[in-house]
Amino acid sequence: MKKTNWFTVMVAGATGLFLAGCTTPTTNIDTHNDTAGAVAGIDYRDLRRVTSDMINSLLASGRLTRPNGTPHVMTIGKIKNDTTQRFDTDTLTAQITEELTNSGKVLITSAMAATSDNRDEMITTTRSVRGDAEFNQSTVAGQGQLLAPTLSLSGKIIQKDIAMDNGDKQIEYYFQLRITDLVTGLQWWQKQVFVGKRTDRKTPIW
Amino acid sequence: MKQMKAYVLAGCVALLGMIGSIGCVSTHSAPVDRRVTVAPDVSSSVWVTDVRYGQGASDHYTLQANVVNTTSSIQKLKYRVVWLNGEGIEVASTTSNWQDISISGKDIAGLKAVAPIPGLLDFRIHIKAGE
Repeated sequence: MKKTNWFTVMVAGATGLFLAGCTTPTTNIDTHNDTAGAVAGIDYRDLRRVTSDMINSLLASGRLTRPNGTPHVMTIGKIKNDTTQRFDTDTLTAQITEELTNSGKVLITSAMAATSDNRDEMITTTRSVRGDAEFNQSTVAGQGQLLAPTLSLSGKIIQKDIAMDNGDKQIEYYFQLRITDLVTGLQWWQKQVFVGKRTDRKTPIW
Repeated sequence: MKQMKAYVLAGCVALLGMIGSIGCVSTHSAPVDRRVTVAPDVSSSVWVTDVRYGQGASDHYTLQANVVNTTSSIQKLKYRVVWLNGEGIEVASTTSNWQDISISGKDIAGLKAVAPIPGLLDFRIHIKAGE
């Protein structure tokens, strides 16, 4: 009886040690020197490349340059995610709007946007205290202060899955963005960037 | 006298040959642009032949570094462009992230980047081996 118990403990202990040694330790991603292989889904490296191509195209086009040098007011319109992956499209637009704002060509409005994530509710909340005696009315935003956007950034991300002859899977991602003049309805700029992946047919992509 | 003339003639021919051969010596080295840094492990495989920039329709400068693959095989590279302001401080830009590029054997590719701020013209290009 004692021998059996001792043997069981040994086996259990050895199994535990073995399993512990098989787990991958957690590490931080070195984003400046990431040598990990490609993934079937869209990862931050893909988004970086896409936003870089988009920004380069937009800034080089010269369409955002105004003769008087003043910035445009732009709103974030609808960016449709037509892929099997659940990711926030703001991860794509955030980098683009940051670069555009830093370029001095564009100011993004938080007063009006297609989704609530890109609107700041405090704009409405601070105006709700007009006439409230508790607040110094000279510090409350008056009427007619908000600037209406003249441009809108919108787009779509499309995914296409294709079966290859050898059974592997080819995944095609198409990132489409456009800037629309809200006054005339005309498209000032548009760009499509392609990201392609090839993987085993059994690899999940969500 | 005749012998002396022969010696003088031979000497002139030798001198002319030396002068001519100086112009024919091939350096087999890449043109040097101090704004370009190529990692040692690829510096013998790829050369940056020239760097051009212009504004085109925009007030942002667009630069293009032309890179030639001196080998017969595909070279997979990574490159980044760092833009510097007037004080030599890096200006944040998406081009500062490493980008992938493949160049076929004996082919030329243009590495392009647009300045994040109008009028910005100081930059550094870094190239290293890709995966």
